[in-house]
Amino acid sequence: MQENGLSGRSASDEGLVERIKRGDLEAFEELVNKYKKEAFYLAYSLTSNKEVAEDLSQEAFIKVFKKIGDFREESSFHTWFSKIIVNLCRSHMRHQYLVRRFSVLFRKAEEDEPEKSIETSVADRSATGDPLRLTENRQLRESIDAAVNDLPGLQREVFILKHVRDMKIKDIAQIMGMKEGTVKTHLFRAVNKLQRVLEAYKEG
Amino acid sequence: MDCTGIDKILISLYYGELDKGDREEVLRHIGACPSCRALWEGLKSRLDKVPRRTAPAMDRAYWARYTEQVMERLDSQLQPGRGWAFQLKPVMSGAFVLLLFVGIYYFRMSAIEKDIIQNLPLLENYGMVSKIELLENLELFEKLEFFEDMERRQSG
Repeated sequence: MQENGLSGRSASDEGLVERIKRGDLEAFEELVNKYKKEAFYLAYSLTSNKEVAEDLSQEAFIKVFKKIGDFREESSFHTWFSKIIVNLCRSHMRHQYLVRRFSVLFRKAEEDEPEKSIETSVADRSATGDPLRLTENRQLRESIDAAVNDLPGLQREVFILKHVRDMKIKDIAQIMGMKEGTVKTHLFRAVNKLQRVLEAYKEG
Repeated sequence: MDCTGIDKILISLYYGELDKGDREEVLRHIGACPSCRALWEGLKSRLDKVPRRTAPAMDRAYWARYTEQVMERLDSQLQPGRGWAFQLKPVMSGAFVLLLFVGIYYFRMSAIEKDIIQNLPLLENYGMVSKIELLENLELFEKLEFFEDMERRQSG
């Protein structure tokens, strides 16, 4: 189980959902406390920006409160909630892409560079205190980050949900609305694309 | 077991999503099949290099503030009149789409105008050709020839 995930989360999800459906704000607050870390870290993994992740994950909670009546319990609350976050992040990324394209059209300077992400990483795993080694690790980490961000939309989302967020393939399939086999195909293709970056780094 | 769909199976193997029996069978196959073994080793070494988790450290105060912010946001949207920005969202989206279409129309028109300017000599010739066609359609040429014949006969 991942660090920011929730073990035994389904214990009272149904109860909370039922109470929220009746407009119980205390139950909603409880739900926020229960899922806030997971929501934030999922949004952060997909957007690589702390402020955006905070805004989108909070927006996802608001959406939960407003749309809880639409939740039919065909999937778990966790899956439904993750789907809301992924969709919000996707809209945000699409919007950012359009803004970037229009900025190029109107020759505006692009200012908001995404933050360089991944605090716990290769560097932390194998930090030896050797400055050269640390620099190399940081460069590799940045190359991988950039390569993951450059993956085509679905491959990127699937790869982050699986490899970074450690979600089950079955859950990812539900969140993304695709078959498990398709999730695995996207993962395999993503790894092949990342290979080029890793090989180039090894050769360099 | 054969090599069919091995890429998907290896993904499940790497992430520990195969049950014990399937896992053992796949590992046996990898042990006996050099191409699948090479594929597995490549996949594993690549995925091992990619960090598994992004986790910027947030303190307790941050998380307390986070909950407060969500509740405040919800409160502002639930109270009538206070969530005007939210209510204006569809209008703003509509205006954005309209602007987008105007922008696209403007750029397309500029492109068409540019095209016309570049092909102006050609278009002038085209205009002449159409006028000749029009005269032919009205049979004016034939009438002109008739009068020319008359003149020739009179003078002859």
